[in-house]
Amino acid sequence: MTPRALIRALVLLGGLLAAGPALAHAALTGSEPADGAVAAAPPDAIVLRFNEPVAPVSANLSRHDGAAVALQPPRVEGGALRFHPAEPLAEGGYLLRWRVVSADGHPIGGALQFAVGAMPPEWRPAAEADPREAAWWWAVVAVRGLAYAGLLLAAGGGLFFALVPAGPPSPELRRGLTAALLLAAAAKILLPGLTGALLTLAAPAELLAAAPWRAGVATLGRGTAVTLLGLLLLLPALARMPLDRWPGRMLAGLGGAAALAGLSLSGHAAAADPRWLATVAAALHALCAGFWAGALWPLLGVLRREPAAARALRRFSTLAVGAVGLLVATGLLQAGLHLGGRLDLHGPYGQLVVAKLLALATLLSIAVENKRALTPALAAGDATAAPRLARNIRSEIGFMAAVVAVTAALGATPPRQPGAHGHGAPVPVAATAAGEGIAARIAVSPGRAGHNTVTVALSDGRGQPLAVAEARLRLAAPGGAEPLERALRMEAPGRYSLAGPELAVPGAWTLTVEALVSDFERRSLTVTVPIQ
Amino acid sequence: MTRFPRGAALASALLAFAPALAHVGIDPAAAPAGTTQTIALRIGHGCDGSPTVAVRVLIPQGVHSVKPMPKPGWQIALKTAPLAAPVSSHGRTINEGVAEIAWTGGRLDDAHFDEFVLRAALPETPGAVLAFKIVQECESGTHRWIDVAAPGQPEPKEPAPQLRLTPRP
Repeated sequence: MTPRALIRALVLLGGLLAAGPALAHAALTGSEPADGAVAAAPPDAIVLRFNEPVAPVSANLSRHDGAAVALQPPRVEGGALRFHPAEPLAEGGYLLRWRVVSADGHPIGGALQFAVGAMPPEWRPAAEADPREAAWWWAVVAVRGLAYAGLLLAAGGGLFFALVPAGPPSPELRRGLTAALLLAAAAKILLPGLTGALLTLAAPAELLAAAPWRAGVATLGRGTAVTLLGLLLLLPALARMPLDRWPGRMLAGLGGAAALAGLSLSGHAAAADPRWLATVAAALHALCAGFWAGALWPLLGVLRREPAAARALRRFSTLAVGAVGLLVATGLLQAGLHLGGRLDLHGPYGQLVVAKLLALATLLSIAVENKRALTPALAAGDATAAPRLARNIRSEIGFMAAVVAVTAALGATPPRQPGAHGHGAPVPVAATAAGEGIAARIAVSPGRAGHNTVTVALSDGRGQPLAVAEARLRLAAPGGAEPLERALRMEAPGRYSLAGPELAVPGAWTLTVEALVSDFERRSLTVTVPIQ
Repeated sequence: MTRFPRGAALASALLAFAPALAHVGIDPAAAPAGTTQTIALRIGHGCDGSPTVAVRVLIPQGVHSVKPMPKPGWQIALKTAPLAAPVSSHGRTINEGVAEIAWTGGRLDDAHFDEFVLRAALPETPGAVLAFKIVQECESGTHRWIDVAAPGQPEPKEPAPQLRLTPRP
């Protein structure tokens, strides 16, 4: 088997490993008060019930005016969490944003909205969460950036030596690549704990405890293991073995490919549907990025050795065309899978994608000049070609660092995708309407243009849930287009929902609930909700 | 980013027009208050092509002495309820009356139309408008002709047929 055939087999294996069945996680089965309920008297406690035992991670309660409300530490009773407010709740609307970790270490979160006395018609978003979230986020991005940079240099360098006949590397290149490898390994080892700390919003000292690591390992574990294994294979090749002979090249290629392919098995890189496609795209993307970025440093060294330089560059430039094409294609495919074909420039994920595309476009223009003008010039014996190429490669390395930084931030930013496990529960927008003997509270979550869940809680004149024979929802876009009409699904008596992409544009939408209260009587209630 | 389904909006606007030609008809649409009338309710189509298998009519308040006309192939069921206000007829006081008529068990193809006929005494309130709310059940799907628009409002999607009471001649 040639090294390249082995690499292909390894990538395929990575894809198969990651495509295993998704585990079922804990789910909320009910709460007291119920979501959307209006309690006459302030409740003693707020209870969340789950289908399996959970550990509380964070909970914050805020009033409809945005003020934070203090909670005592929750009591855990198997699958139930009981929160006691520090002081009895005053009249008003309340939003509990919670996060728990299930037995398999997977964090889930959600929001519960209820009121004491009467449901207020308007809600102001709660003050943004914990400062720890921002601190951990930056820590994760920085360490992930170091991991990517080290991996691209070391594993990508390994791939380069495996695929391009570049002769033996200089001692300082060997030392540099080995240092990059150790940096990547250290960062990869640290990353699960930091990611877990971000997911569970741990205090800094808790990083030494097991909980954040469990949470982090659950989402990153397998990928980290594959990457570390690859780095272990790569270490002797980069540090000692001759890289112009087949055992060294084979090991460098294998280790480098495994280390890079491992990236596709962790985090949300592989979390989009269809999962196998997302995983294979992420693996190919990492391999191509590694080959391109990893080649730059060794190429700088090769350029100094005239006779070998032209041959190595020719080979590199042939392979690079395919690699860059595949890199762009798989990058676009992944962005498409995560964003569902809709690039929202208001969201951080969309903005990061655009930043990455801009840096990449600059990189590509430099690469095109190298390929079109400088590589042939070098082959033709032009003496100015080598220094100009070296200068271009140095600026490529600079832009590559920018791309790596943006990619690290992308990896820690949840794309806006239904069902993706982001952090920070959405704050729903809600409105209430009342008619003769009927009232409706209509909540839209997350309340941004795109995929939304509309929840309708119907109650009778006395505030009790009102079950109806049929409930439909008309959604009229801002600007007075013909409304869309949808049947609402019954979740429980008096509780109906619609999940879908209907609220596609921002603005004030008019939502009309049509409830069939008896065979011959239909009531309609209309509210206006702002969609961001 | 703003890919609003303009085609779908246009199509639904056109579709919303179509049923306006084929609501449930009522004959007569106007009759003198306090008289007894034979009222025909005309079902012009099924539910999106599906044949009609039941027609239920809610008798408006104040309408009394109701009798449905039998219809070959259909069974009739009557629901009675106390009248909101007792009426006197031929020297007798009537406290209870038919509240709902159901014709069931038949089959009216979407390609055909038919009339469901009843006789009723109309209340003594000239100028009033009576809405005959109708539930039309099909093999698949249901039309509920039960919407009554407030004055000045646009016609609802599934309006109940209306009978206007004129002054007695």
